[in-house]
Amino acid sequence: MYLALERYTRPSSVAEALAAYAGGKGGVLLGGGSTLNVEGNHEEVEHVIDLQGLPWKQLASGAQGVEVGALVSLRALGRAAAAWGPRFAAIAPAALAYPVVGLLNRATVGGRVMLDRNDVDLHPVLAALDARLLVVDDAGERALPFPTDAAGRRALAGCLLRGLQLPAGGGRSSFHRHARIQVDRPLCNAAAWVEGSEARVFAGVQGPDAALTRLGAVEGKLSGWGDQRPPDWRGQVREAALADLVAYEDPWASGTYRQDVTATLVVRCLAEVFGEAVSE
Amino acid sequence: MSEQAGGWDTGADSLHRYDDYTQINRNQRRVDALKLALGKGTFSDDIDLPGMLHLKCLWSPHAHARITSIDTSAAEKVPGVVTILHHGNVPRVPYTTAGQGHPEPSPYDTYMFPKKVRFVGDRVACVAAESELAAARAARLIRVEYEVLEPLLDSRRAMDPGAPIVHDEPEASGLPGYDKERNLAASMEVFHGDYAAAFAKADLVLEHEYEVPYQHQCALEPHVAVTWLDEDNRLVVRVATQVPFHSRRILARVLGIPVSRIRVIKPRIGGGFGGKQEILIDDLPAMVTLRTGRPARLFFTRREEFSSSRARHPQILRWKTGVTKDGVVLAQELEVLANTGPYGAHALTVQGCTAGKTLPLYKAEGYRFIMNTVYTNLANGGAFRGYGGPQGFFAMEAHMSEVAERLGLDPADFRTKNLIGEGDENPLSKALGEGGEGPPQRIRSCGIQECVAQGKAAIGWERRGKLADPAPHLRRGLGMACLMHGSGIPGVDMASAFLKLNDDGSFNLHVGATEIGTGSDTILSQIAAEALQVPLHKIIIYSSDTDMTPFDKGAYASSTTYISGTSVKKACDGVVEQLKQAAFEIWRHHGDPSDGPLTIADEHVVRPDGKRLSYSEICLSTFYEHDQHQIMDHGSHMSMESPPPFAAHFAEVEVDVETGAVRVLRYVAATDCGVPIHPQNCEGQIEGGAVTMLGYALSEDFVFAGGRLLSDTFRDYKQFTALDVPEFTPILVKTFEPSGPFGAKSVAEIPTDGPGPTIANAVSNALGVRFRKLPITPERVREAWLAKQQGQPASTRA
Amino acid sequence: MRSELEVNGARVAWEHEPHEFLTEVLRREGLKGTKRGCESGDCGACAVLLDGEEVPSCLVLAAQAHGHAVETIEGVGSFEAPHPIQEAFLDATAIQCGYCTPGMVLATKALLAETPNPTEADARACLAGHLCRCTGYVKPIQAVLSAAQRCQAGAQ
Repeated sequence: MYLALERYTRPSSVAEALAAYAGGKGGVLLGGGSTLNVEGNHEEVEHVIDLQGLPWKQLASGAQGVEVGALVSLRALGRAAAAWGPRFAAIAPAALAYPVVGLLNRATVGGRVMLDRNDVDLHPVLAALDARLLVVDDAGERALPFPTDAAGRRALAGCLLRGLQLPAGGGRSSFHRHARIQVDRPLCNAAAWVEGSEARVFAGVQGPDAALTRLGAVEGKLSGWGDQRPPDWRGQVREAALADLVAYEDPWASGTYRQDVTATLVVRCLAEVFGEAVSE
Repeated sequence: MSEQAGGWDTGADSLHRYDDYTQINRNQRRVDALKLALGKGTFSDDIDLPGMLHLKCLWSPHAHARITSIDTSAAEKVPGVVTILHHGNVPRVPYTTAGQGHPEPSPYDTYMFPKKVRFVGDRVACVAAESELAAARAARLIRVEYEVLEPLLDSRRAMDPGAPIVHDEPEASGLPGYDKERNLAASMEVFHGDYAAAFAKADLVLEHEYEVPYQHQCALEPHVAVTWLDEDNRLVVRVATQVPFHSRRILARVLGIPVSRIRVIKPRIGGGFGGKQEILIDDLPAMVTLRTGRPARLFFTRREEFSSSRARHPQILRWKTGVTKDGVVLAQELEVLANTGPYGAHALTVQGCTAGKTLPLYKAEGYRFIMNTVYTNLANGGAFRGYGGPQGFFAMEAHMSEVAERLGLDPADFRTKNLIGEGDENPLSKALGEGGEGPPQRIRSCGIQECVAQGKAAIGWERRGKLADPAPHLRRGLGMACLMHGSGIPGVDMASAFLKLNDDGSFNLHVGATEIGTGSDTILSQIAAEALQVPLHKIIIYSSDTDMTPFDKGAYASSTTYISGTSVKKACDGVVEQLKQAAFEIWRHHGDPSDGPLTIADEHVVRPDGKRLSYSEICLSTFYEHDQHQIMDHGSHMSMESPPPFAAHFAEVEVDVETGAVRVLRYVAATDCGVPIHPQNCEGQIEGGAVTMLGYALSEDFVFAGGRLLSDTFRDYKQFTALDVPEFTPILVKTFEPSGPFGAKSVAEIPTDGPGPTIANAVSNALGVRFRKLPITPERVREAWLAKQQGQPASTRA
Repeated sequence: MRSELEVNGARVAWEHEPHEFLTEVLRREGLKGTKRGCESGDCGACAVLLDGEEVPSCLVLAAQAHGHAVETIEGVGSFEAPHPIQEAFLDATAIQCGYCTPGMVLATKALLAETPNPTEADARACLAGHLCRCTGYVKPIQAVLSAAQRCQAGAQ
């Protein structure tokens, strides 16, 4: 319930939106609906700025890579991404991971990306794909790397997110998550992108905030192996993952369990990328 | 139907009647379904009253604290605020919120507003304002000072000397076994036979501890009540309730006004499951209406549903069984430590059912049951579909599979060897009555052996132990459980019905029975249609309005079909006699007396020579022509019997040993509910009850931080969804219950008893590790699997 | 403030407060088939179709619906002529308390508009955001599949 909301604005241009937002002091952005509303901590919100009137709904895939507008719904993203080939294979399962049709229709890419919370399934995927955020503020438009820590998140403060760019290229990506039932927040998740000896591997829900854990030791193993994986690569990846992951405990899972299952998810992501069976 | 004066008969001889029915044992469109499909069902909140006030509560942020002061001055200044209730300005009347028969067998330990808050979510104050927004704003401005007390957050500590005392005020009182100095909301010990000698004879005595969590009812419609004064200055309460007549009686006590000044209307209800067998919120808008003269409305948010209503009592159960080496059960012992939280609603009776529903299922020479239900400062226990059965069956049926395993017997064979059957006496029915001694019970109809046989065939039980693992990280397993429940509370539950004939041959059927989504309006209409030999659409049913319908205990204890249904049948039988009498009189009046005894068929009274009078013709004559009178009758029913339905549940699961995730692949629920009045509706009860409890088995739990509930939204409290439901096979096994209406027994609660143990047994079968604690979360599975790999016993994370 | 929108095919202009969600305003305007179950988008009881797409109306500010078309359960079928989806729910006994039913019917309508021949997996996915404690989803899933057949038969 909004106890204080007295102003609703629907800007029809970027300039109007920037003026209303006033670098974060003017009101709260409504990218499509769910971001602000679901969490319930908005009793004090006085002004919402609904961005639906802005032309940020593009979904374009080309030689330069993929560009996704901030107002694209998760459902539209999930459907479109299914056709973008193996490099982007991780996007659809992450976009559609909380499989509630009404929420997928309302939740926007912009809302999800800007959400400073650890259980957003898109975050590790966008990090693994080295996404760029296209942001706008009074100084103009620029591209920022996808934030993986608190400092990166701070750089977004006061900006509007216009969309994101996913660089073109090869390789494959995959995404795995673990939850109690099918419609559930993840207890942990992981995403990987691999092309030859290059790899980016990230895990989420490894701390209280939106920061991601980059699995550098796993990436190191992969780049060392190139196309010549040892037969016991699963065991080695698991060990490397456990070295990178902290035992983050919250009321929903113990630290050791979350660490253990995240390592399994990393192995499964790589098995999928390699076209191998999940387990042996 | 048997009148059972002294003797008893079984239903076997009546099975042939199954196919003779025209209106029951038939899938008809439910009488209320079309309006609901169109969105036109009017639920409690679906009315607008001019001048209505909206209520918002201020809840305790502390698990245990004394309120030292309440300052409402800032809140009163919020525009639109009309009145604010708190303990300083309302009467202090001890009562129980439990919507049970009079006198309620639950302690009187609750007040409209307590001076001492006993859980996070306890009532502190309530604001009535012109809008929900103004009420919510004002509630945040109430300044309350607390003396924070040490909370009692562990039921195992509750009876220890020196533990915080939850009820240290003089007014609280309870039945024998109540001891508030020891935080005991209820306690009892009962036994049957020489259990000690029976244990001594046993070749194997096995004893284990089991633990089950809180579970929330999650009715989709939250608690809601709307109240107003009618033109005669009477209080009208329109409330989402399962127990309108108990609500009227308890409200009269709390508000200090006579029953005659209260009318409780039950409109359409969006599910109850026991959560609405509680006078949980009705008193607040009622008090505001009495004080202000204005309509008032209180609608719970989902967070309030979780943190300030009621839930299934958590229990710690110790189950001990003595058996011979060839698998004959000799003795059973059950000790229960239950947690009722801050107030004792249903504390005695739920826990009584934990033993009463379970122990008699297997014949033995001796039984013993010890129960302590303690107060804590955690969430509040209460009624929830199954009512103690799910807790007890989880322990018993997990235990019976462990016993079978130790004896090297097939768990199905071990069970069928020991099951109660037709003609057997229930050894514990006398000792475990509702709040005291109960009437003796003998089983007249029992399809449990057939349930096991059909269930085994449907799940493919012969595959047990030979299931191929689909991948190296996946294991499959099969599990089962046997179940029984009851049909109403014997010697206590009464229901009544009123029936009158209209001039087009339709009938108004007024019942106290409370349709809350179960299908009772349809089932009772079908029973009337069968008894009257009319099509279903000729019955116009109106249910549960304390001014307009006769009494009914309410929708609980699996009693509606069996108890309320029989009251309907009695009213119909009376009307049929009147119809025959009137027809006889009409024919005689016209100089054409009947040539013999009259019967009814197809909306007519029929003579042996084939001449017939329609119900419409009879009604028009009795209204306007001859011997004018209204054809009408009523029926009341109370039963000294509570015939158990029986069931056998089976499941196939797949366990991911790397993550601990359990997927339920297939579920079979073979059920003997006597003659199904509406087979598809019975299936719906079975499917809904079982799927609710798949969540209990695997995913639903209350997660606390100290005394604060964290799992207080649908996003954090995980019930099964359409994506989680397994391939589900409900099977209705044919039996005939001679004491029930047209052979029917209950079906509402028995499905809730099965999934806990069935899933636990299936997961155990898949992994070779026993699970004695619910829910079987992925983390617990993974931990148990790792411990097994390392050859260590699993420690279970709290 | 004032929002202009199309509701069940009719143009309306509704006065409301900026903080009010579509659920509240629809209900105040008499469309009470839209139910309040959680007000956090998790239960599906308040589902409506916004420009044909299923949305939880408890997460849509009434102001956000300005300029859009809303369909509620009141726009689907009547006592005289129930929609085939409603007939399917009746015949499957997929309705118990009925609080979730309007949302499920609308979700099915949105599904069948995109996917006239749904698989069982599609039917389950369509209902995933619609909590129901009564039915266990078994009969509603059957109802969605049966509704597809009825709609197909009606279209031919």
